[in-house]
Amino acid sequence: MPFKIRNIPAVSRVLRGCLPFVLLLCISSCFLSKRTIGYSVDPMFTSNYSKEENRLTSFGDSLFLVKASDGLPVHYFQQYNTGVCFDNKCRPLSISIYWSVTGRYLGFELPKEEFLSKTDHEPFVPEEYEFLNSLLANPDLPFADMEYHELMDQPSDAVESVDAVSGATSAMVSNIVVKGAVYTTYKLWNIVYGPTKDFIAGHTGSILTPQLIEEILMANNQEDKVWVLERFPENIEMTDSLLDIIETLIVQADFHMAYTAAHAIKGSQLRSDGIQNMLFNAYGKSNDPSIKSLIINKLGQAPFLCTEVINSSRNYIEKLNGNELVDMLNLLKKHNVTDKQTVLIVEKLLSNENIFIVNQAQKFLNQAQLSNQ
Amino acid sequence: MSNIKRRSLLKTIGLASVGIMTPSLLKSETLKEPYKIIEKSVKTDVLIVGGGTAGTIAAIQAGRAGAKTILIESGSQLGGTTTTGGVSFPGIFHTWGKQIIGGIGWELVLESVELNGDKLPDFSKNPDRHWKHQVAVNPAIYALLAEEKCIEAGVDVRFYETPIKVEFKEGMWWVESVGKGVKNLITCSQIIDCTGNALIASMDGYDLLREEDTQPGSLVFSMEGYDIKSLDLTKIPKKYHGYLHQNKLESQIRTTGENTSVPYGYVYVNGADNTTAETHTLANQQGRRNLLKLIRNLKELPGCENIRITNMKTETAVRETYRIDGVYKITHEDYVSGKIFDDSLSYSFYPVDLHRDGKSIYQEFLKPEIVASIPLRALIPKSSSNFLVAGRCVSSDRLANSGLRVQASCMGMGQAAAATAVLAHKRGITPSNVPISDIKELLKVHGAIIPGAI
Repeated sequence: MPFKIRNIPAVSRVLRGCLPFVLLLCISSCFLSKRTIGYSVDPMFTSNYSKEENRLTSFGDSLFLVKASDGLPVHYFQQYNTGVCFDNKCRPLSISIYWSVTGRYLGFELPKEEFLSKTDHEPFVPEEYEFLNSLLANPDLPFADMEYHELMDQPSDAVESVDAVSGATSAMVSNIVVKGAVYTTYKLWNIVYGPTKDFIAGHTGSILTPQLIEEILMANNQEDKVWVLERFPENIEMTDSLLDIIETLIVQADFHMAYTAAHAIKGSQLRSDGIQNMLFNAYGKSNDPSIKSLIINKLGQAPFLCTEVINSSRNYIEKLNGNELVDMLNLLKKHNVTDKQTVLIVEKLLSNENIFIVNQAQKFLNQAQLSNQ
Repeated sequence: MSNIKRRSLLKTIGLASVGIMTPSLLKSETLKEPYKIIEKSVKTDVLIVGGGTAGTIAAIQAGRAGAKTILIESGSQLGGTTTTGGVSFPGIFHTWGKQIIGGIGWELVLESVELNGDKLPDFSKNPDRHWKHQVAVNPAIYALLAEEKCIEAGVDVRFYETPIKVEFKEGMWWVESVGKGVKNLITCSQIIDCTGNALIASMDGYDLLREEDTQPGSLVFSMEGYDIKSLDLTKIPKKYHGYLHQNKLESQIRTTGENTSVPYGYVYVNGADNTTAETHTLANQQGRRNLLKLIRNLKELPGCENIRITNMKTETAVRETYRIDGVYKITHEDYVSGKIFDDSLSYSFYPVDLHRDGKSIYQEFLKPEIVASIPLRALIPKSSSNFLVAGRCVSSDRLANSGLRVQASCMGMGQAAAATAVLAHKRGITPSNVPISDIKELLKVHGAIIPGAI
């Protein structure tokens, strides 16, 4: 969607975290009035920033990190002035590309009076900008593994072609390029998903704080949430609010998010009673058997089980069946929880009409007897 | 002590110990009794025949639900197509942003992924190609976990056995099963036929259906010794391009990030049928012949001179043989419209996917939000008692079957059939008389996803 140029308002950090970009003005008027053209995949995005507030960090000459007034990263952008072609006859490409703090594509912006062009230097129309924007937002396009010469069907002795020169677009990519701008599409996509994206991810990953993690997790972008959960630092301070957020994510219906959130907690963090309790609370609230199983297995990695979790687990034993019962008894066995109270509860299972449950209980009790000897 | 002296001392000690040990070793041989087949009679509640995709899940479900369970598998490991057949990326468990098949099948797949340190695809996004939501698993891990879970559930797993006679009399099944050195008479109240070929249904005389021309099987292999990106494909006949590409997952733009490598080269085996030892042998031999010919031909091509096979599955995986004539036959229209029946017990999601003549695939993709379902009646042969099937022999027309046959669907069917069989056993009735609500309740307890509930 086109974005508007406006100042970053003093909105909440949460909103700013998810919205780095802007909008264009009315596209048609943009061309007529020679105003700036910009498109974003995020309706809340704004490209504007205040230089006066010293909110830019530069990496080299062209890559910048925009920060909020409190210093939290907001988005990155990079300015490019490059040729799309190889014979220097076409218009050079002058453009700024924007990424979220996680390296997710946000949008692009052209300098004033600049426009993108196709074969024979014909300017893009608004629909083509929109299409280009959607293509750039798709990380799954196959351009990373393609060479320039694979984009066009051409005689083997042809020189490397350019968008300003006509040629037959390869059928393999014809539906995933702007018509007449195959090289522009290809080049921009490779910029968006090239080394800069990795650099951004690496840089943000190195400056993660509880506050920044909360910002990303509270914002409304699934991709960013998954990104930060997959990079969750083991030594990060687990604030109460961060624990609450992670618990909510584990309990929610979206499997991928719940799965990733459960995996964000590493074994080394399970020394903390707070984290163990958070996980066990999530166990009680989750409706997904596979997530419950993941949580129990995760708790199995803890060096010990805290008292609250042991006490809570006893309340579940008689209600469980199938794999959930196996998981729970294995967890207690692993942590050598063979106290009298637990044994009494497990003994009740011996009278269950389901022989599978009886057998699981018996196995647990056999081990408990050995442990208590 | 010098090195030489130490060596000679050690040598002396070694010779001395050989001298001491040799007489006792020589005295240990005994005379073996002549080979004799051991005959046993065994009683169980539920007998499951076929430890493949559906049967493994069925056995675990039956055991966990408290039934005394026997699982007969003619091969040497569990998992069938997923393991022995080499199609080790089962699916599809999620679609349209939701999970549609859960339960024991998903539990096994997820544990395989976890144990192998793999990464799941992001199921919240609809992929541009359906197979991107299939989950690559390490087949060895899958087979190990499947066996562990069967044993944990108390299932009596019997490898290398196959039934040769079944008879239903006095409300019980009498099954003669033979294997290496064993002959068993198994009596049980319920049978679940998970052979994939409706073998047991056929033995008992239930009607089976088969197309004149069935889909080809696949012998799965992998190869190395060439670089697909360096090949000049203009100098290689097009008929070989597919083989060279299919061997490399990266050429399929697979971006799920899994660690498990699933090289999926395959040669088609027309008419592959693993119903009997003879047809199965033919299918395996044909597959191996085709592969050998392919490799010889590939090595003649520029850039492929060093191609070598790195893995070949021991059996040809089969897509289509027989289907039962069930109480209800799932139609193509039922499948593509996502019809949910009162007795639907499991979902199924895959395109209509018919491999034709080993040359092309007819595919029909399901429209957004459409997910097919499997009613209990499609798992029950007409006029049968105490008998269910699960897997690709589900009662269905050919086009519906080409989508229903995939692994996640078969896992769902296996769990549903087992839950039904256990309840039927406990109540002394036939599966069609078990209240559907009771089956659904039992399935939910064991993590299955019931159609209509999402």
